[in-house]
Amino acid sequence: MKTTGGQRRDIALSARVRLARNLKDLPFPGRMDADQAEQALARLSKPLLDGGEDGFTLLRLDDGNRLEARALVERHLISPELAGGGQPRGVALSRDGGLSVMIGEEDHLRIQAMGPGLCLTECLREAQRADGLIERQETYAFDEALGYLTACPTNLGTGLRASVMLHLPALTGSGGMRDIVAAAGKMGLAVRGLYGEGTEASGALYQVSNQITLGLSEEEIVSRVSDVTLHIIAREEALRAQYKQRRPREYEDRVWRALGALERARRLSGEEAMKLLSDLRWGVSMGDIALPLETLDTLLPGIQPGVLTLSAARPLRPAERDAARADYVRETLGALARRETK
Amino acid sequence: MLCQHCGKNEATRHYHVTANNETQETHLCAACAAATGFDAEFQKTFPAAAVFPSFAFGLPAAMSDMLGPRAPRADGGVCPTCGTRLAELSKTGKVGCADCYDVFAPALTPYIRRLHGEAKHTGRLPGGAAPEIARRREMDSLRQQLQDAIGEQAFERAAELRDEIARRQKGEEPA
Repeated sequence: MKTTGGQRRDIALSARVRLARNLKDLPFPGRMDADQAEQALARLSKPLLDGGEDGFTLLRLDDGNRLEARALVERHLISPELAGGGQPRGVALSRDGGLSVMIGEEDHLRIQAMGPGLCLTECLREAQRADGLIERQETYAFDEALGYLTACPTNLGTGLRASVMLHLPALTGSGGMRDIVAAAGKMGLAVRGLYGEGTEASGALYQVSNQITLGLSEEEIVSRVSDVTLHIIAREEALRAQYKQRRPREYEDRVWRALGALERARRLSGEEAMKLLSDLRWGVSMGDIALPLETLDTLLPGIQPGVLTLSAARPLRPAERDAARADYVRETLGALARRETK
Repeated sequence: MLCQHCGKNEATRHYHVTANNETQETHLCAACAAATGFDAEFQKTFPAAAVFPSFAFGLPAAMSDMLGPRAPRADGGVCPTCGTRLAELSKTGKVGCADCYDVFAPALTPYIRRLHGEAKHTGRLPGGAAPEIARRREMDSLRQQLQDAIGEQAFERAAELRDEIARRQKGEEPA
């Protein structure tokens, strides 16, 4: 069942809960041979495929289907590690895309539930439901004191990572992210740029997530991440209001110029597209440009190189990719405009 | 200072590993340092010590006996179940199977403490293990209450608790 979506979609794009689990009677993926990996894939996908109501399909990723794997990474449905190929492995995806269960990543199971907006509680419920489907048929590696046993001790205990994707252009522009990162760190949370390297997050997109997984209950972790996220959102909101009030013309020029460029450009590099989309999203989320936010957010994975190449169904040179990116953005925005005028 | 391993000879080998402002010390006599393989293990894993300081303590069989009785023997620092070596673990930071947490407990415990503090799991329990663990947690709590009652000289309450514990033990473990 897909989450209905959470609050604050103007700033919180999406939320995700991930549970790490391992089978008790097999070595962890890093130590499995091909037969064991095959066995894990069959045993762990079966309860999901039999589940019915979610309409899970299993996608094998060890067959060298690299392009499809890369596109799944860019859509945040699987991790780059799972896409790397090698041993038998795969991902079970629910029909509505709300659940993605990776089998044979660092741990036997990485159960992920995601939804739009700040909806961690719903995501937790969904992930635990999928967890329950599998647990009815299999026995997990578990220790009373250490909790669910994971390949990396950083995930011990609940095996839970709760994360929220945030759009923070005003905080980024004001240089306020450094303080946010430090303050979140004190609360045991990490704030990282989602795209791009280092501190300069491409498209002003960040991910807030818990670092500690042991000693807190699942509900406590989720509520801590939600609380800190709401604080960050409040700070971003205040800075946005301040910027708009103090420099109204600069703000307006920035968001409308982004719309103009995206609607008309014939070539867009990834970096430029990310920046323009960030500016446009700012204007839309403030209610100053009338476009549906959900459609805007679907553009984000759509402009990534792997997804573009997959859509083209042939290898693209960088210049061709920039052209395909511009075409895709222009057509999507154009379709929206036509729908608006109807 | 006496050797921490045999407790008889004077300790002449002193190992200090500092990381995250925390220094761990081990003092052994020459014979025990060689016998436990500590010397060799220390040399071998020292490059990783800055990142994974606890592993500088190595894990030959004798050391695991000394540090943690619950750990199965790890011959030469190898997990008998999955074949993961201590040196690999210190390099990748990943265990190879569930048993590694027992086998390498002496080395992993300080590391886990640095990551998560003194914490114990308080989250969800797997269905199969849940009733048993819940029962054990309850018994631990009753025993603690009994200690508290005795400490406070509340003997009537203590007697009740003692009977309750006895009753449950009988119920759980029929003779």
